[in-house]
Amino acid sequence: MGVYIVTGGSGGIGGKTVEILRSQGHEVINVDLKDADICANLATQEGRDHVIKTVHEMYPDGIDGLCCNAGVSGACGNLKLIISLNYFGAVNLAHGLFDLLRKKKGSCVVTSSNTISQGAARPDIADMLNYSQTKPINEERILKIIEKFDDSNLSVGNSIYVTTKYALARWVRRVSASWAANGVRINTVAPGNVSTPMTATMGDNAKAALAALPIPTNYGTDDLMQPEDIANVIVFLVSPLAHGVNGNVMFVDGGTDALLNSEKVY
Amino acid sequence: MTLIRQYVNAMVNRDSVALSKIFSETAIFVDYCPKDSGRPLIHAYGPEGIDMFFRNQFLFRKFEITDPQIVSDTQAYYYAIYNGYHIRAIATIQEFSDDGEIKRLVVRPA
Repeated sequence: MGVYIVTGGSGGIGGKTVEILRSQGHEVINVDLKDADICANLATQEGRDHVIKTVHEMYPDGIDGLCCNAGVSGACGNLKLIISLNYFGAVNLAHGLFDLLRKKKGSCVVTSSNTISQGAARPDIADMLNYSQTKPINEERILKIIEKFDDSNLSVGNSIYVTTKYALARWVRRVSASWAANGVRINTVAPGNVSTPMTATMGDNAKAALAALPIPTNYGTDDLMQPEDIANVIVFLVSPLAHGVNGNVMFVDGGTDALLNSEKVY
Repeated sequence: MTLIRQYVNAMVNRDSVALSKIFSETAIFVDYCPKDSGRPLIHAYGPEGIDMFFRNQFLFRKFEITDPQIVSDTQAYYYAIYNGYHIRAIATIQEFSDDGEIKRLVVRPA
């Protein structure tokens, strides 16, 4: 049985991922802000460093998988948090644990979003993120730019959210060949709208906006994707069954992306 | 009412359900106009697909039409607006199903 690290594993998609991996007999370490095996704030470099150090101490012989799932939505009202947690919280942690993945020829799965194909990303910010590497000074520079944006505007929040998820997916694609050559596969899942405690209590306008992103597999209902729909694919991608899959952005949205972007076959 | 008029009415009223009901089970909707603005063409298959696609487009105001002119039982001109980009378009019903529904409708720059 393997050793897997899951971020954001205290609930939602991450929680289901932890649950499924444990049900398969694996040893799973949940990294989250609270109620976790390792409690840390991945929006800060200190938090990431704490996790990297702790995991190295716990598993010096390596880990089999890393699922970078922790993130916040565009409606959280904190643009800097979206940038620091969604992008740097995943990329910096993955880089920091890469040597442990390499020791056991493990794999990494990063959670992106199906919104990356809908044209709302800011290419300039995405370029900054992907160019930043993992240097804290570059994160600080980007945050200084972001703090000038209007974080009370929901569309700005959504745009920054989509930007972080787009940059994540592009980062995965860019490093995948080199990582694979070192024995480490890396892929990303792009979920559609997933049922969460937040979506269960949202107002009519928000529900109407969700309904405008139809989920073909749930046609004729108001049902959203379930966390386990996404978690099952993450577990597959991180497993040896997906040995031939690398650098892939896998949409797990019931067909929303195919509906809205049928001409994008690659 | 002719199918082309029902099509135009549904587009003007931004009614994806009414739009989907005039298409047959295996219908194809193709719109080449977005290519003029550097975007991929639009392809939607089947009434459910057409309903879902245009529900998204109408609600997020990505697409609308204005100034329609029905010129025959199978053709209509209008300005198609894609994310604010106006293109003069002609919609043509190219094929009907045995049940009299639209089986293939193609939109091209006019």
